[in-house]
Amino acid sequence: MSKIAFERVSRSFVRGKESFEALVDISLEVQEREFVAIVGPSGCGKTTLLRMVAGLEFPSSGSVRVANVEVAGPGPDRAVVFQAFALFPWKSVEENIGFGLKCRGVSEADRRPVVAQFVELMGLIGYENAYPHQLSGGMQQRVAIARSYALDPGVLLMDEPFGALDAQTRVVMQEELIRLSRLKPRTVLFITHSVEEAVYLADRVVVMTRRPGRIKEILDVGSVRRSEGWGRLEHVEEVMDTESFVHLRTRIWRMLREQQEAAAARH
Amino acid sequence: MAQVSVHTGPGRKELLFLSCAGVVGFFAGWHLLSVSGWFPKQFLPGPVAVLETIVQLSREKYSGDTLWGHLAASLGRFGVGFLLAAAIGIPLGLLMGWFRWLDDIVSPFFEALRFVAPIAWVPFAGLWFGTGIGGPTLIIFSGAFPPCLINAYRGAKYVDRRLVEAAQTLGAGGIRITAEVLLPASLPSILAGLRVSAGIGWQSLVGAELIVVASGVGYMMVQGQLNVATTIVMAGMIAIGLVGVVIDFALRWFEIRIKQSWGR
Repeated sequence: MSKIAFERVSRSFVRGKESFEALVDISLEVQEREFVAIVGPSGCGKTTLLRMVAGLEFPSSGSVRVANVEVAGPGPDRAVVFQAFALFPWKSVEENIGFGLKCRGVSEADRRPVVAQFVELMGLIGYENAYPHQLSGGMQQRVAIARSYALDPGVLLMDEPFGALDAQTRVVMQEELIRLSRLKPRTVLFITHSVEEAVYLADRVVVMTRRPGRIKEILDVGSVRRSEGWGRLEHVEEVMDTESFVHLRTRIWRMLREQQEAAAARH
Repeated sequence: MAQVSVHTGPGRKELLFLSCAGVVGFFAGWHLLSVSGWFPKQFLPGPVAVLETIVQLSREKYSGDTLWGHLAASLGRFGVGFLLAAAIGIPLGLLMGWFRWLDDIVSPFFEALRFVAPIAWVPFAGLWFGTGIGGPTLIIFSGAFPPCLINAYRGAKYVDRRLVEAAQTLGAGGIRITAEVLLPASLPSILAGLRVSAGIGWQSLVGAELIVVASGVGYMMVQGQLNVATTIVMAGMIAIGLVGVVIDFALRWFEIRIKQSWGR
């Protein structure tokens, strides 16, 4: 079981003499093999939520549990895909993908087939010995995703993974991710700025309020996807063209706009 | 498309030509000045006379050794001082970058000692270590040490935090993070520091030799000065300059190669 559970999680920061609340009373359960996307205005604390699951930050109150165990620090059971890729520039594509396995103590001979499998799966054949700077942004993010998947983690945490990519590459990567998550389903927490991306990828979309971040609403996109048969459509633009997709997208946009207007009214 | 090249400035060929023109112009001017008779020959020998002296010095001993012998003595001292500075400065700098408490302990001393120029160490070095290998080595060390330490410190302090976090989430422990993330991430800065350090070390060395030792290029130059042999002094200066360029070039080559393979 790789369920993620946030239980009444709050987080406050101290900056200088002032302390401010970033997240207030977040309760959320991500089920085993569920894909949950979080959208919200900038600074609503969505990245903090993800980092708390990764064990890179901790709640001020409440608890974050993964597989029923309180998160105490980073670990290879929860892989993170960072927005800026965070590949090791001094390691080749193969070495980057194999790094987690190396940490686990897997011998080079045993790493090779696993790395080769992900090189093939992510379309990186021919680039095994290249260094990150020799690759395009899209290719770099493929390496980063492969690096995370190679550890076979129960939980995959993605922090705006496609935010640094151009629009066309982004669409390709979204389709790749759909393909990958069908092939190797994982419990995924996915942070994004893009409403389209969230609706296209996720089973459920969590909409957050402006700071201090609370959960505004949770939309069940998965049931719409199944009943409307989005899965049969091959490309992003076909899905985005369906009436049900447009309807969901507009609903979320409206919620985000309300947040923005409320923030503007306060200032 | 010669018209378009206006934007790109002088090309490789032009740059090479300009460099050569500068060198030729300098030596021509020097030669003309020396033969003009405005200065006594003794104080301003021409380039040809200096070149002859260099050739002569590389064959015959002057103040105890040939030019090569003096250079070897200088390079030996430089090597010891420089390696010592790197061997102590780099690990200490890295540790200061990683551990705040060490930073707090060492920084005040370091900040104050940094302003004692290598040449200001000469009296102390002479008193404590004498004029053999110890004194000059300490002076070279005092010049070469700060850049080693500062750059290793900066390299360690400003490692991209996300790389460390990425390694942590992939299951890397402290030792592996140090060896496979922190160290390689700091390496470009360390290498830049070594280059600066070598330059300052080499400069300090000659200063040290002017005063405290009985061999080396600096010593040879002082003897030249005492004997009013300007050609010897100038030959020494040229040798120092050329060796400095060679050292810098070698380290730069090394630095560029490492950076290239890492795409920095």
